[in-house]
Amino acid sequence: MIKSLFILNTGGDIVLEKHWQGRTGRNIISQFWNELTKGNRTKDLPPIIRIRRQTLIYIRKYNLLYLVVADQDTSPLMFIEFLNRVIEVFSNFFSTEPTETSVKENLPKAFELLGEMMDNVFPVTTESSMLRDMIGATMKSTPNTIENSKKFATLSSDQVGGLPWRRKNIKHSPNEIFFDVIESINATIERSGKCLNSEIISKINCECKLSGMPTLTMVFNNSSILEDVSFHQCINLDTWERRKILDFIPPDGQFELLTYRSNRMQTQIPLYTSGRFNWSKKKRRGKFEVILQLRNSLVKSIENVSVLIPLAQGCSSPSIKTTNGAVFFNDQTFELKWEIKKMPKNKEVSMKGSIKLPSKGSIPREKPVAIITFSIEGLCMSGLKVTNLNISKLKKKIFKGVKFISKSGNFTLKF
Amino acid sequence: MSKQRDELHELRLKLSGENASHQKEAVKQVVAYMTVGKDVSSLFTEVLKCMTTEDLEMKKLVYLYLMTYAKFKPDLSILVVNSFIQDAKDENPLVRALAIRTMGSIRVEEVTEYLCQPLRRCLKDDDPYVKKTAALCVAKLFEMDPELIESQGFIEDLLALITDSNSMVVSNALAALQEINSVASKPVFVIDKKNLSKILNAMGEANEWSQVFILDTLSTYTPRNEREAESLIERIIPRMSHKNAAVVLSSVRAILQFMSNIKSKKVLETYYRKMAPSLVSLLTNPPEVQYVALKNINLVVQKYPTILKGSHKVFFCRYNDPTYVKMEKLEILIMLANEDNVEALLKEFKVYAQEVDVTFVRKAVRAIGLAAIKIPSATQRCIKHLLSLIKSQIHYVTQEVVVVVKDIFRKYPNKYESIIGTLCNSLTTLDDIESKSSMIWIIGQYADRIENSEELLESFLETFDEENPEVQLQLLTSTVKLFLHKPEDSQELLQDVLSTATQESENPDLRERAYIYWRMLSTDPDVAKEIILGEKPLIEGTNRKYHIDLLETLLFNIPSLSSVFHKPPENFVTNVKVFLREDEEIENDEEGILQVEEEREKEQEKQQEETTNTNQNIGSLIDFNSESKQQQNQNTQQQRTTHVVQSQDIRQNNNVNQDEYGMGLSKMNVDIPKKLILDAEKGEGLEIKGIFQRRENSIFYELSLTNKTQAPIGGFACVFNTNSFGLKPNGWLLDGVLMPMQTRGSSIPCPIETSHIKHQNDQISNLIQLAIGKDSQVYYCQDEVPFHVLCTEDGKLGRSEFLKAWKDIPDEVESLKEITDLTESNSNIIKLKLENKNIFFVAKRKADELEIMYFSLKTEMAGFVLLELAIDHNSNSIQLATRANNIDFVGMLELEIEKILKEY
Repeated sequence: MIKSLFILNTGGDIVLEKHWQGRTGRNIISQFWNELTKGNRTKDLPPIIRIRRQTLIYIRKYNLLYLVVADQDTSPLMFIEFLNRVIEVFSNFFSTEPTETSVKENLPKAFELLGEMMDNVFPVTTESSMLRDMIGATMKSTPNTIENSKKFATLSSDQVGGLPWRRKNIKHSPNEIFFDVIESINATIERSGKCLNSEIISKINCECKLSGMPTLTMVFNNSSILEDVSFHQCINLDTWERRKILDFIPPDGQFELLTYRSNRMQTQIPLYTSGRFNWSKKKRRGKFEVILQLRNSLVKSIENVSVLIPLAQGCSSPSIKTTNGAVFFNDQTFELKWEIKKMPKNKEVSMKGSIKLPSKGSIPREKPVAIITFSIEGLCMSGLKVTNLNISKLKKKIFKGVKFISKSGNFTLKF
Repeated sequence: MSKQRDELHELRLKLSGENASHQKEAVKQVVAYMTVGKDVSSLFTEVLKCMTTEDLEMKKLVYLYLMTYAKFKPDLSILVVNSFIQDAKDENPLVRALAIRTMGSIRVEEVTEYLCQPLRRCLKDDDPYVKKTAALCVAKLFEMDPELIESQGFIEDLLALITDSNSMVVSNALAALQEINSVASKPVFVIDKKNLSKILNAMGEANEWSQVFILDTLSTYTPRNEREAESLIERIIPRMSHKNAAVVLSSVRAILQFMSNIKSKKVLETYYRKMAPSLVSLLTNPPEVQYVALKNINLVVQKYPTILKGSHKVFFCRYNDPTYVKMEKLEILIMLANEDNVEALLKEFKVYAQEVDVTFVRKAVRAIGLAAIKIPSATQRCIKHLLSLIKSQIHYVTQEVVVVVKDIFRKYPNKYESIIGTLCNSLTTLDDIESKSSMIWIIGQYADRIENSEELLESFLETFDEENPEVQLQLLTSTVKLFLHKPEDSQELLQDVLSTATQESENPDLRERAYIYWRMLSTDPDVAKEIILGEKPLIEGTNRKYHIDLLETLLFNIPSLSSVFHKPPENFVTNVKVFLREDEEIENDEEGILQVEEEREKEQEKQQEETTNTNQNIGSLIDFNSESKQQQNQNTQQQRTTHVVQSQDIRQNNNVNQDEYGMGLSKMNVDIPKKLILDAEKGEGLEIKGIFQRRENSIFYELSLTNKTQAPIGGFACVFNTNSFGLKPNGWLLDGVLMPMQTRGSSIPCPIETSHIKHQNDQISNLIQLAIGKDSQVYYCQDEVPFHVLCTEDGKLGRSEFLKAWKDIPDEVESLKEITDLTESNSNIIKLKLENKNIFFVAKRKADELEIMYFSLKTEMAGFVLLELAIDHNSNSIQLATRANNIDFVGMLELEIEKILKEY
């Protein structure tokens, strides 16, 4: 089982260390760092490795590396998920994504949180809303003394007696609940514009400000879209299995209700993409062209479209023409970025140009790819609709709403 | 230094002051220091006083501090016990739970005793939060002192909690029991008919982590009949839609286990259908989760090849997938290849083969070859792709194609040989062993169709002596085949190879195979031809990489490390654990380790046998993953080690031998060149060379003095400045007079005198400043003391003493150093080299791919020093771990060891 948690910055320095069983020497960290940086494969080291009879499990997020050390056989996935939860909880409590600075500024709080999140080797409470009751999030304004601890006595038993994710006696005014259905499309497009493969990865985020213990039921137009689905723990899995409706008492505040994956698309891919790229050996230049067109009749507008092409090391002197938008070239990362603020309707936009290779060295064997990002409000690619949202046990007026956003996930054009 | 001292002083004042807010600030600061690794243990007493605070946040910080430092101050920790007991009775349940949790984590034996009473009370607390915390605490204590827990009846208390009305308490009690089961000598808890329904109910209401624990406990249950298995699966299936990937994976494992109790094909079919989307959904997670998921999916697909039918697109590699994810995806894609999807897969593979990452590209080329072998209708297309890859002229791609093409020939003989020409034409230099032997095999097998086969083979034979054994064997066989095809052109070649192989080679395999061929050819060439060129069984493509027994073991261990590393769980039994478990009898402890090692070796051997067996059916050469080969290597290495151990034992028992070493050492002394410490110019005609040496249990300064003037020199004197080791010369530099151009040797005994140790400066140095006097003239110079002269002859520890000492020194004191670019990593030679310098061998063993040796040494100033050398034979490097009570000298020692190991 796990012994220790380390948080490292991009230079391999320890930002935080927490030990549950004994103390793990820092030696192992420097060894891990050597392993990680060996042969320039920083991104390629598998997340679970063995160093000197110890198992190291790590994930990275927001330029920080979270690493746990275990010395016995253990379930690695549990700790990867736990680390992801640590990041989530830190973001909530620090009111900003956890970075080296924000972690250091919040060290005592971070320790308090870790102490509650994992006891010995068992992950226990990892829901932000429950943790808020155990840890004074705004410690200074509400003096938190044991003398006035009657409050805690009730909180504590509520917490364990009731639901693991929602406490009693929550009050809100006004009462409101909003859902964001965010669908991301992963696709690989050939240079001819033909789609090689695509899938939609989606999630429903929820912001819940409801009083008491409301029970919600949500019905969809076509539940078969949700074949590959993962639910938040608040959802009654048995009801879903039997009746294909969602039945749940939501946690308080923001949370991710469910995620689903779908291969079927009700609509066309909203953005048509094609292009070509060739390295000219003689001229030592790369010549390329990218064409985009909005092609979904349902889409009213599509904004903030960008095309990113990571080029070979040492490329320089781009010469580019576009019909719309602006092109930026970063000569440190050798990335070319084309940004289009507003896509016109029924009209092709294009970027054409060339880039110079360094005068020495070999011509790259592989062609680059173009990574395309976009976001469209009000479109739902999978065709999912919420046909009914019912909230019981709450007499007051409730504001509710569902919003759809379609956007690019891993959307690449292969030249 | 002094700045830090000031800071500590200031904190101390604030902590013991009256001002509550200052106190709190100070505690925060202390904790902040603690986390960046600064030593604030000296504030222990002051922080302890703050424990009585009314401020919950501050209390938590104080508890945090205690958890970190209590281990180092066991005597002081006793002072805390009373406060703990008070807090465990506090009216706030959060405080009660905090106290119990902290007491359980402190791991100080003295505290444990006092914990029993409050723990028993908390296990029966009214508040479920306190109760579940207490349940986990029992598991923690069990690890430290199982007998205490059993004798106090805590196990019974835990079992009673399973029937608690609160699901959180039930699930935590289960988690604790499961943890205890994993360390206890015999299980304290098994699921039976009575508690099963209670457990299933708790699963429905528990939080995500408890669900994982419950599912893992549940997987160990054997259903009584098919119907029960079905109903259990029905209960678990909904869990597979959980957001938490760990819950999903544990559900998959439990369902797979219960499925083995079900015979109805139709029922199983429905379960497959329900499981598939959950497995696939795991890939929508971040890459780290994907990696674990893919490793596990790999196992599931090996067992149930059709489970993911039609889902192949999910496993297509994305541009920005990390390499570790891409490699795993590719592996699964190959397993999923069939008539229907092969077209799409080949297209993907071809794209992958043009990427940048070399290992990935090679694997992609192999994938094309495997598709050709697995799906006959696609072979033609695969070959087309392979030929176009050859044209790319990229070194590692061509090499890989050669290997793959050879396997295609073995699967479809006499069908695609027309491509041999293209292959031979585009041959660049092959340096990879496997592709080299593949090419040689092709030349031998088709010697009659390749026009210049004898020339090609001859060019390979030029470097016969330098080749790897695998290539040599292949060359031998192929030359014989060539001879059988074209006897007139190759007789000479064959003669050469056979005589080299039989007379010059030291490899018994090669020699014997050569003799067999020789005898066959000389007895009856026709029969030999029939045998050697006879038809060979075809190789076959298969999905299953592992022997069924291993596969079952791995599937049973699904959420654990085994399922990620694809090795049986015994591989992850660490000796740390064994150390902890067999505390009382250290002698046995040591045996325990060795036994575990031995068993593991056996296990691996068994597995390897199995793998080889399976492979023989497939044809050992197409083994897609080189795992089995690695294991083979490992095993040969292990065998080698066994020999070494034996010879060492003999030598150890033989005292006469050891004396011989001693003599050898003093003889060698003469040859060691002395270092110039005073040159003639500076010394006004007196030149001195010197070196520190150890013999007869003492340190000597061996000097040679030369008079380069025209007049005799006399009145010599020698004084050492105080130094880090306390070395002090005890004797005259040289008696009498040194005549012109005369050189005389002198050896001064240099005992260690504590009074002569230099203290005032923190810096430890192996430099000795010395003053040499001659006829009332004084010269100042310096010399280095090699660390090994300080190692005494009685530095050898027994295994059990060593183990105990090693354990007594905490992990964090251990110092590590990487020694790379060794010319010699043979453990026997390393042992000789070190023992020559009074660094004594204690024990050795194998761990993973490393060979680990333990040494001990003793010095007067630092006592015993313990060394662990983890030798990596693949990279010729050593990881040196040093543990000592006095760590001041460790840096110097590490440098010395590196020097010893690298000198010839």
